[in-house]
Amino acid sequence: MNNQVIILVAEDDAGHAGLIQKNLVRSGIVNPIMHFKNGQKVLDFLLQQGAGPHRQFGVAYVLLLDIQMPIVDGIEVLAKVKADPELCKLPVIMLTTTDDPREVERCHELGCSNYITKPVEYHHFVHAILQLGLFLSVVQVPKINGGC
Amino acid sequence: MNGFKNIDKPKNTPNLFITLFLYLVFSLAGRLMSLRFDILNIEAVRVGFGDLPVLLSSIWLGPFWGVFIGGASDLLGFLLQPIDTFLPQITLIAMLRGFLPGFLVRCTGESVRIRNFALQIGITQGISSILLMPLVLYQAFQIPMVENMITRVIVQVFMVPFYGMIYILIKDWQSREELLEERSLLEQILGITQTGVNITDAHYNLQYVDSRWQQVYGDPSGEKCFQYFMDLEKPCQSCGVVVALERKEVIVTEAVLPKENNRIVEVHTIPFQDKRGQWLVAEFNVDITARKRIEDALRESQEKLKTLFSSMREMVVIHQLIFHEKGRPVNYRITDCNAAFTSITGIPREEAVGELATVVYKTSSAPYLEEFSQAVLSGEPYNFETYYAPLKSHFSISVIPMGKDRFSTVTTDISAVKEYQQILSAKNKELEQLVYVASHDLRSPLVNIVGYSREIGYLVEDLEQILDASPTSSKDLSPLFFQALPELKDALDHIQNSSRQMDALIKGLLELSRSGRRALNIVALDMNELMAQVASVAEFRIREANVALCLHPLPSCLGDAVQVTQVFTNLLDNALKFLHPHRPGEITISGCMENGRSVYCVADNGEGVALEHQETIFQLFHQVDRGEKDGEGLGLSITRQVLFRLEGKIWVASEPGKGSRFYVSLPSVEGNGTK
Repeated sequence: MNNQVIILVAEDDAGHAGLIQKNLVRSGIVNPIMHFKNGQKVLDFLLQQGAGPHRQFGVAYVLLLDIQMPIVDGIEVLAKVKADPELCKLPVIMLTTTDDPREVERCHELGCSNYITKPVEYHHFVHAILQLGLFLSVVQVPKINGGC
Repeated sequence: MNGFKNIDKPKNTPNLFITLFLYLVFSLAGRLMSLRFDILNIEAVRVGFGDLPVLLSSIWLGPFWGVFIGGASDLLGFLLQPIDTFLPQITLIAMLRGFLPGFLVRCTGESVRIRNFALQIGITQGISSILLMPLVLYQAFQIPMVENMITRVIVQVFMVPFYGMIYILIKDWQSREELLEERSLLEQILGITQTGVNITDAHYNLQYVDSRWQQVYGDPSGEKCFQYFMDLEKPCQSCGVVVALERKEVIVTEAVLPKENNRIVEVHTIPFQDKRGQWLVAEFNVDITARKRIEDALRESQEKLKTLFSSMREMVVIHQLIFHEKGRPVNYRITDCNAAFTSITGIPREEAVGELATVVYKTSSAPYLEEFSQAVLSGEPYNFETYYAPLKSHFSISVIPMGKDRFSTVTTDISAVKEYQQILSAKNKELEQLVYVASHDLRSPLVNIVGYSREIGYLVEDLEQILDASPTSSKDLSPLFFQALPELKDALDHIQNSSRQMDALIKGLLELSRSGRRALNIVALDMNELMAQVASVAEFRIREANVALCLHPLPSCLGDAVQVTQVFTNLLDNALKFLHPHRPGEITISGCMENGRSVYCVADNGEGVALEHQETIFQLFHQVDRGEKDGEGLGLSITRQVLFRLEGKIWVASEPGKGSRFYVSLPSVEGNGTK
């Protein structure tokens, strides 16, 4: 995987965020990881607004996005990212506990790159994260300031 | 007393024997005389043997038997005479005279005219026999003979007045016979038309009943009409006979005949006076059973329909479509409507019937004209559901076409059904959400519990490997443990937190379920007292948070004390929980009456709720910002469910950053409020 790619994790549950990070590392992904506690914070980062850190031009990002989040939920973040001419090429991978078909469909309609259900069985989860790692390593991650 | 009956022809057999006896006497006498005196007066012999039996048997047995017996006696007389004493032609005439009338009667049947003709001949012969009897006797006893020609002339002269008398008698008989025939014809006609006739005198004695009555009811002799027809002990005061005799006018009544399987007859009772001035009544009975049954069935079905029409809770309206000259329907007229129409629309029947739809409903175009026209023009019934804004009601309308321009509508108010549907769909949504919650919110901590347990497992495995690889003294291992400890602690923290989270969620769900099942005790609540209690429970937190709580006087309401307390405890808790971090809190509780309902407001100057979250905060487990505040996100869900059962309502008005106002509406003590 391109070392320059920064993995953004938007996840309100600290436990889930920790597990994702641990397992990404365990499956050999060494890219920098940034954690956001809710949708608003990741939007602030991407849209370069508010008090927190902002994204930088010329850097490639990939977004792991939880759906159920307070203040601004994952669907809303996805919709905003895909509607933004600068951000629309950002690969977004939805992470969620449910596999509600309507929700999956909704996310695909909005243009998410992948949709992964958080498994309860630990080895499933690892498997899913490893797949994600493989996926990330083969996907050509665009530098998002290129426009759509 | 039964006058008409006496007119009937006597057909009693004893009379036949008398006739035969007389015949034998006469024929024997004639025979003896002719033998003894050798009389050659043929006329006298013939008379003796033939004509008297004709007369007698005609009177007793009727003309047919009269002429038949007369003819037979002539023949017998001829046979008994010595052959040389009779001139052949005279014998022949005697035979013909006797047989011809009988023959005529035989051949022409019961014709009154022929019968009377035969009778006339028979009677004439009989009378002349009596008249000639002295002559026979005179000759028989050798009384000096008169010249035969002279005798004949005398006889004929004597005969003239008697022939006149006989003619009168016969005429009288004839008219009686004609009357009889007419009567039998009349009876026949009455029989065909099922008309029963009877005549009763002023003392209810039956004077006459026709043959049909007699066939069914038997001999009326000595019976009173009420006994004969009705099996009653005394006349019924409403009986047509009683009334007709009293008023002396024609009465038409209906009677049920118990002796004839409750056959129904229409009775025309006609009072009249006979020749002696006695009052009688004639009754003509016409069978109307079939008509009555049909009428009854018709009336019954009409009444059924009428009852149905008037008592139906559905509006039933009958209309007539009005067409434009070009054949396009433009309006419709109400031709009939039931009581439900008035009770639902508030339009009195008199103002609707006969009026155009545009007038009745005060609209520029007739409501639902298109739907109604479609049904009428296609001839097919049509159903549709609609919301009629002027009445603020949902209706289900069935249009039933009736002929080329008429149609009726059956309209059901389905507002209540619609409301239940809405409640049901809301409940369904809630249920769906519950399933979602079970699959997401409960699963989320589970991911952590399993995940971090596994992490601990990895750490333990790592430590084991190190121990196995280089078994060193415990002292050298301590840095390893120190390195692993924070991670272990972190993992255990996550597991514990997630377990607590699950526990709280499950408790919350139980609480929600209980709040929906708890028995309600609806009473009038003094809200000032109740709110003071709610505030006193939260007193410590209010003081700690340095909040100014202001309680205004509140109207009372109808509700369950426990549940209403929970509602306001939740609202106060929320207000305290979401205070603005940078300004002192102010919470105001006020109330008023609105549209017959008690409305309460819990207002704060806290963080407020963004517009997009103002509905979702009432959903299960929804928390605007989870993790920073306590609670499982159930407070408002439970509040809403509790209020739903109390026929209450909750809504919020808020401006983010400035504060929120939660409104609760409950039924007032006076009632009659709408939700």
